[in-house]
Amino acid sequence: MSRPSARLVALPIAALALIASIARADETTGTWTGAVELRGNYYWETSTRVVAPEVRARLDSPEGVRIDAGYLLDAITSASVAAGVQEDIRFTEVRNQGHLGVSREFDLGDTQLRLGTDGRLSHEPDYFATAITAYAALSLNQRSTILSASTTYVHDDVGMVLQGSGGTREGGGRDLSDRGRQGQLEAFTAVLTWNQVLSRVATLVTSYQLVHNWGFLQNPYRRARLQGGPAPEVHPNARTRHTLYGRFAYFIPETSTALHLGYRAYIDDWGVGAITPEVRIYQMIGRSAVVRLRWRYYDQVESDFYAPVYEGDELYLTADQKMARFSSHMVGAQLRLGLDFLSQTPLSFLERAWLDMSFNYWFQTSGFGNGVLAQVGVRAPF
Amino acid sequence: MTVPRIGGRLRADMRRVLASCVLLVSGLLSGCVSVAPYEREYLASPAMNAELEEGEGEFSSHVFDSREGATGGHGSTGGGCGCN
Repeated sequence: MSRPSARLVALPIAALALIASIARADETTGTWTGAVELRGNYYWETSTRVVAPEVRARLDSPEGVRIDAGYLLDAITSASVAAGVQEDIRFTEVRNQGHLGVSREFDLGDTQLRLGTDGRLSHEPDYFATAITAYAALSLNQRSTILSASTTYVHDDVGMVLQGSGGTREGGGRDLSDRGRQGQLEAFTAVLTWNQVLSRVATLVTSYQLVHNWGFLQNPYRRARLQGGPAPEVHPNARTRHTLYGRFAYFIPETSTALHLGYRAYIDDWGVGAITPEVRIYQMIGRSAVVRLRWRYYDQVESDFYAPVYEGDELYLTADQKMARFSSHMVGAQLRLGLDFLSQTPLSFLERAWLDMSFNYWFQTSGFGNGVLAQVGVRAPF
Repeated sequence: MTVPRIGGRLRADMRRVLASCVLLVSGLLSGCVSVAPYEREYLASPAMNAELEEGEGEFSSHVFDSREGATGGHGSTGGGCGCN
């Protein structure tokens, strides 16, 4: 079994062991609470397949300290040019991502203030990403209102592994030890969020996000189409992005149905603008099952410098499908099931857990084509 | 092939949404809604608890970021992997 395959199997087993051991520990101490989540993610489109198991955990101490941690293994099988090949062959590369966060809530009488920080690392053969976040959340009116602010700094090292460079490594696979550093991408992000309980059956979340990217913002593998032949992408070296997001949720007690309406508006100084409305309907079935239906629409206009073919005297060149005009529809269904029926079995440590299974089909007019997004997860509180 | 631009319509749409949000937010601020914890039975339903979807949403956001020009609205930052 190859190393990525072994890790794909080992990760779920380790997470299940972790759930069992923590559940037992909680019975004896009765001090910490939290949740462990094990998730399998799958994405497919014509030229790309992604299998990404992950495990995440949250611990809350009685003193208000919260620890969040997670690990994700991204196994990407691709033949796309964006992944670094110029010919139709398939190969698999692995990305490892981990994050760790710590926060603490301070009780200020009628209000509560949570302060926290979070660090994230992501490594793949030709890309190394780091991010650090600081945030604050203020709860008011018996937590009916939560105002939060966060800021994130991202530093990515962008590399390029050329096809054929380095040959084959011992044990099989490509030798990717020379990452061919191309530059670095930086980002500063600020997010303001307002989470409001509107009534006994309605909530509203609104947020504004500002992202400023600078540095190496093109993809080193992609080649733009010039009349004289292909040429490397040249993107502007800075980009400022604005996003406004809102989500309204309403519960209908008579039918145990919840309706969630989401809307996102996006614009940036490269000329890209997009809207993303989304509708989700949740239907409770008894106390331990929820069915969710979802429709998500996305529509964007192309960037100022996008062209299918360039003449050769343009300042910027792109072959990025995300710079083109396109739209998409995603439809999907999810079943979320409470595992309380396990209470009298050897798996009773999962009796408060929820299992979710979702399948989404993505109709896209972009060059990436249609796709499938499927996920299976178990979330066990303790 | 020439692709017609509809940026003007989209941007006007966004301006209207922004104005509506500002009005809504102002209304909420003036109302200072407060719902006591014992009145939140329905809000605690799994159908209303967005925290249950955090794990699922993070990977979905990652996929959207790698396939769409827009970003954000749910915690993503632009960058973070070579799929950009």
